[in-house]
Amino acid sequence: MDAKRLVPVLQILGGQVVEPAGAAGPRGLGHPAEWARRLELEGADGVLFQELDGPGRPSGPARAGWVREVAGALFIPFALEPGPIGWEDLEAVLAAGADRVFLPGGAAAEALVAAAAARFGRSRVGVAATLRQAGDRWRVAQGPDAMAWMAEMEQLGAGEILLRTGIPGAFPVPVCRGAAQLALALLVEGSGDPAQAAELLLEGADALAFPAREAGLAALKSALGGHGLTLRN
Amino acid sequence: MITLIALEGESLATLEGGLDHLGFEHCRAVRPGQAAAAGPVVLAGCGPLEPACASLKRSGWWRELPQLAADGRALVGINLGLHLLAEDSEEAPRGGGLGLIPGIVRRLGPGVKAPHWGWSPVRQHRYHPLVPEIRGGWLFFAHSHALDPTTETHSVAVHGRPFAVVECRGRTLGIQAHLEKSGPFGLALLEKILLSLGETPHWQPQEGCN
Repeated sequence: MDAKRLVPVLQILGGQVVEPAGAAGPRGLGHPAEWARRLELEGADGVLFQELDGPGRPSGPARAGWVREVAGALFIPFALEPGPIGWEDLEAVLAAGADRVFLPGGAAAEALVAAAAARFGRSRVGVAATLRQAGDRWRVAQGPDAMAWMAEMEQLGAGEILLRTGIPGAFPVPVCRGAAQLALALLVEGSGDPAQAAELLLEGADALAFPAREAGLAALKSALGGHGLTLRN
Repeated sequence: MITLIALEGESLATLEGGLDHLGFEHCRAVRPGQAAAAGPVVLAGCGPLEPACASLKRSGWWRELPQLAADGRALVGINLGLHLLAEDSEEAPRGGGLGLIPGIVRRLGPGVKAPHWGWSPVRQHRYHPLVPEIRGGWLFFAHSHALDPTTETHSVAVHGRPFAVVECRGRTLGIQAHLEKSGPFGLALLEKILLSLGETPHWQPQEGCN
């Protein structure tokens, strides 16, 4: 029996946790290791670091530096979504201790996914993408149907896919049902709303990613437990 | 002093962080000649088996580990390390194991998520003097293959089928879970195992073994 995972998201720019909203641009909030450790103590099952694109986006060695500090201080698994990344930088963040890296989905990334899975193992490689609605179907950006894309990512060697819609409160339940038939895991990025989270997890999503400050973890776990979901206690 | 075998392509960052947190002295050893004079030797990883086998053979550890086990040195295999200590693995049949722990490592599934990357409850099967009693608790796993439990298995979890979580033969221990990534419960388990292997917590992480 596996537990559904609750994974708070921390957004990173320039090696710092940031709050991206606001007219003045991203506001620095502190060091990734300190924030992640706090989330661990609150009961998170993992932490996802999303690196924002911008002038403060670090070089490979700088990124590996803060990842190494997180790895040395955090005693639950953590993943990184760095955006576009080359082979050497990918190798560096995995060597620094990231448990999993979500590579950007898309045709250009397919070769990288396959090569990374072969070299580092399926468990360390994920793929991230945004779903767009096209009529009654959901597609990955302007590309293939979501179900066909997930199956293709599994064939390439991805251990998990991270999907979002970019529309608050909207995520297609059929995609969760489809993922439940595959061997790879599905991490859905949502708002942390307990009712939506419960529906997606009950329908087949394996894990929920949500903004770290959106909902208290204890409150979310308590609310989800009431829906009969298996959660780590 | 705990010797951590430095496998090419594998990260020891969190394990080292966990040992620092618990106060155990440790060092990295690429080759057997860099190992500490005494203390447990830890083989940890989560990547593919074949490159790890090749790395162990190039570095000389493949020949050294059976001798260390025969000499009574404590060996601890974590995740991929457990698979390498077993007799063989479906991941790389014929030649993928050191045979220090009996059994064949088999692929998970079909019909389950593979890799199994998540938290599962653990249940104790059998007493072993080097491993503390487990009265229930959740551990983190990241694997696509696992060793089937036997009557000798210390503890088990289930992912589609039961699999061995802690397997012991003498002073050789194989641990499928990442204790260093399993929160306070995993760290406490790791601490008790290292204490039972004769390690004493200190506070001075070392640059090298010698």
